[in-house]
Amino acid sequence: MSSTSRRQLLAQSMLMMSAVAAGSQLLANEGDQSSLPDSQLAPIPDDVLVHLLNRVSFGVSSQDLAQARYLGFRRYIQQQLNYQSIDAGDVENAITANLPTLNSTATELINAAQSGEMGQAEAAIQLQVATLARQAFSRQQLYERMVEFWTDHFSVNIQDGPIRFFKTIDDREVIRPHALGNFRDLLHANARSNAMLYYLDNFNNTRSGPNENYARELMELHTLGVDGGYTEQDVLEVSRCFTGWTFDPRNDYQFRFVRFNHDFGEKVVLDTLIPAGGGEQDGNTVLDMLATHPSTARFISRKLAVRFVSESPPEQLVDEMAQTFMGTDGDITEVMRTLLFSSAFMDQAEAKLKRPVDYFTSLMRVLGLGPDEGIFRFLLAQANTLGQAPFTWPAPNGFPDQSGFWANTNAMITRWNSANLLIGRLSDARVAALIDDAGTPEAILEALESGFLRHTLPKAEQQQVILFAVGEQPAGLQLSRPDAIQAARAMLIVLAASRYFQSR
Amino acid sequence: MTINRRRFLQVSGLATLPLLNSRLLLAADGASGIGNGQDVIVCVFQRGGADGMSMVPPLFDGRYFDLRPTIAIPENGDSAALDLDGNYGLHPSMASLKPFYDDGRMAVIHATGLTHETHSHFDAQDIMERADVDEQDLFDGWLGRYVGSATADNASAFRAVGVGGAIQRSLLGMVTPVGIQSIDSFSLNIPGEKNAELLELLEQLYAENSVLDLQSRQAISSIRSLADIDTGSIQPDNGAEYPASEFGTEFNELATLIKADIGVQVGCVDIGGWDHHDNANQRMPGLLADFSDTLAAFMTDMGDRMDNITIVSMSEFGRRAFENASGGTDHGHGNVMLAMGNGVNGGQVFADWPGLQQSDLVFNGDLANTTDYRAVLSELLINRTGLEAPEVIFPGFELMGEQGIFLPKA
Repeated sequence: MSSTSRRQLLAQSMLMMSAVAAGSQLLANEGDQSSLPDSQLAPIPDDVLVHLLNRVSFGVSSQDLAQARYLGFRRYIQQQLNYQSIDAGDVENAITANLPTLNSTATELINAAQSGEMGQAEAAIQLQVATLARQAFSRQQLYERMVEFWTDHFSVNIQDGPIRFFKTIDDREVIRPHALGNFRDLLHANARSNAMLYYLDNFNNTRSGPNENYARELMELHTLGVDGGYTEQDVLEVSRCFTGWTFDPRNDYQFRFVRFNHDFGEKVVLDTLIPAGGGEQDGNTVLDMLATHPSTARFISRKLAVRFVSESPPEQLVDEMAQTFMGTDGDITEVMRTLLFSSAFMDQAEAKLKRPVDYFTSLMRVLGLGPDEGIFRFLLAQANTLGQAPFTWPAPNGFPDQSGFWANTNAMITRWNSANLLIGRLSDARVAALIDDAGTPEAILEALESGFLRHTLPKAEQQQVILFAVGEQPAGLQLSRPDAIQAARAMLIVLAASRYFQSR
Repeated sequence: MTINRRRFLQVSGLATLPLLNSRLLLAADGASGIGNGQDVIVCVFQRGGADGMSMVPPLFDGRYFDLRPTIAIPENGDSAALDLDGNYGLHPSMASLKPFYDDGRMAVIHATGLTHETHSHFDAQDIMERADVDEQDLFDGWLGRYVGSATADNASAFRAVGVGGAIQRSLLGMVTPVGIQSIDSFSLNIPGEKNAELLELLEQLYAENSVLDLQSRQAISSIRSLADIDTGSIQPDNGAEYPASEFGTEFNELATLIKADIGVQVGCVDIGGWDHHDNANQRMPGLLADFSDTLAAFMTDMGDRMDNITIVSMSEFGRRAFENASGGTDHGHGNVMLAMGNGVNGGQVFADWPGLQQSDLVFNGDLANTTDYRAVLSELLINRTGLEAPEVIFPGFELMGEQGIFLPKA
């Protein structure tokens, strides 16, 4: 089946749903308290829930699909947005037990590495593993998606000097606390984060020769966007505003404003006068101006829409999100609510190519693998092979979110091979669980189509897959249990490599 | 409005890559870029905005030392620049390329680069690789347009190769490029008969014309082409030693593909890490050595093949003429390009030097750009590939006379 017919399928489901009168309530916004609980409405087609989970989670696990069926579309989203109400489950326990550096201070990490008590890269590795584990296994799936989004948005390279230590603090105290919070708070916290201060050189930005690196990326990448209406002169002026911002090695590398290094003269930023003598306040003023700027509202809204809806999101959706952004002073949860309850979110069933980590985590989630230390390290090894190990993008713009970037010959081969590797490692019991008691090639394939691929192949492709798995044997032949498991494994390899598993 | 331009490109990048005609879909093994009257073009992109004035310092211009009191490359002493022509020097960490300059196989082009005013890395790289200086919404990259043109008549699966984890934007176009990171891992990891069976099945399952289909089929035909060749037996020749760096390793892979004679027509390799806003004195030497030693090893390895290979290097912009308080430089404009190969009219610096006086500088204190990089690339294509109409590759650009950087191909 082509992707077109898949889109048609989803469109039909939507049509059916609205015909069953669920539509308006399904898409009702938060203010509409009068709508019936979803459980009293007609059941929502699985296609719709699979689409939802494909977008808000790192892959459609059986557990989450069951939860979405139980709660319904609206309440599932409400629950995911209210992420603190969800027990993050085993994964946080596993992280606490296995990855102790996640809770260390910067000074502790640096001292441990300097004394040789811990490897130089250990803190970075533990953070990478924890990040992937949370993506693959946390039940707070939308929250982890938001953490991923802001990690890319405020990208720092963990291979750059002390960021191998600082990123642990940045992740724990800047990105995660604000991922579904307020953008202004997030921006201010990020500007003071030692990881960002170091990465974009603000830590040694002084009046004797301002360093423009942070100022430029702050406007181009973090807030206004490259066409958001700033000039080269603004870059220079903003860099002057941030002179003296640094971190203090004697105080756990925390933010410090050094008056001596600050340019106390007056500045003009975006046609606004910042009077002389402002000191540390200059930077705060700039951050406030940028956090509440209409260009920022649109830039962030568009970027979220690209991530969660489509690579060319409808202007109307971006407008609505930007309005919410402006009207709520940058409340990220509310902006996401606008996005997720928009009609565009459901209309845009056009597939987005899974990024490499999406691909791999979705494989693990749909296979029902759970968090354990063996899997943890395997995940990181695969993310490295696939070219998307967390925090390793070498530029300040974060891993690309364009399918065109990720689709190339090397990437396809790497995907196929990483899936083969994982499927080869599955225990017989795990494969057996996926096919239940199916014993004929056609029944095995059917079980994997519904439980793994969540998509039915066209007949011709079904025959090709069966031929690959069991040769010329009849599709209705009853196989021995070991042969059935072997056939299922072969089918899984094909299905995971097929087009139907590449997009979300 | 530029937002629209970018958005258009993102969308079209996914959905509307032009369909290939069937001839191009089939990899004709053995078709060689070398021997069909055209040079293999190797394009090196220095990501991050390399500091051209540290690579090739203008030693004759006293302002250079005034503007860069702590990071100028000195004329004398232990870390002195290597003299090129009495005016310009070469960074001492680039010593391995000096012999190639001296015997005429490397030329420097200075005060060149992208003429667009952007100081954004991402915009500048994107515009430069598409050669869309006038924002005409071009989708293809300049090398993609070249490979897709009639001039580059070559049906090999490997005619356009992007080495590394991702495909360079400059390669996108009518011909689906091969992205390859390592030849060793460019195969399916399934043992026995199932390997070939799975390849065949995937070829059938990816029979449509989306980007995913094109890339998948290209991957499959490339795997098959490579499987026929004993690439393990291809080792560096002439005592060439590639650095163990990512850049060195990737160039070694490209060299292997070229020596396998499977029709490489253009190859792209990136080297990142040039965004030196601070500590240029510490950051520059190692990176420049990696860059230079790799290119020197490649030319040594290629030997006489360099008669038919031309390397060109570029970066999205140069850096501010004056240093900042962090011992680095901020984003600038005019920059350096290098051209290497036996078909280069080397041993000279091509420069219409704009000067470094305050009134000579552009934007917030940048070296001006007096040679459009498209002029350099047009000359390259005309002289080394026989391309007659460079405006096909660089729409909207008119070449106003050649500087003689490249020798006409014999």
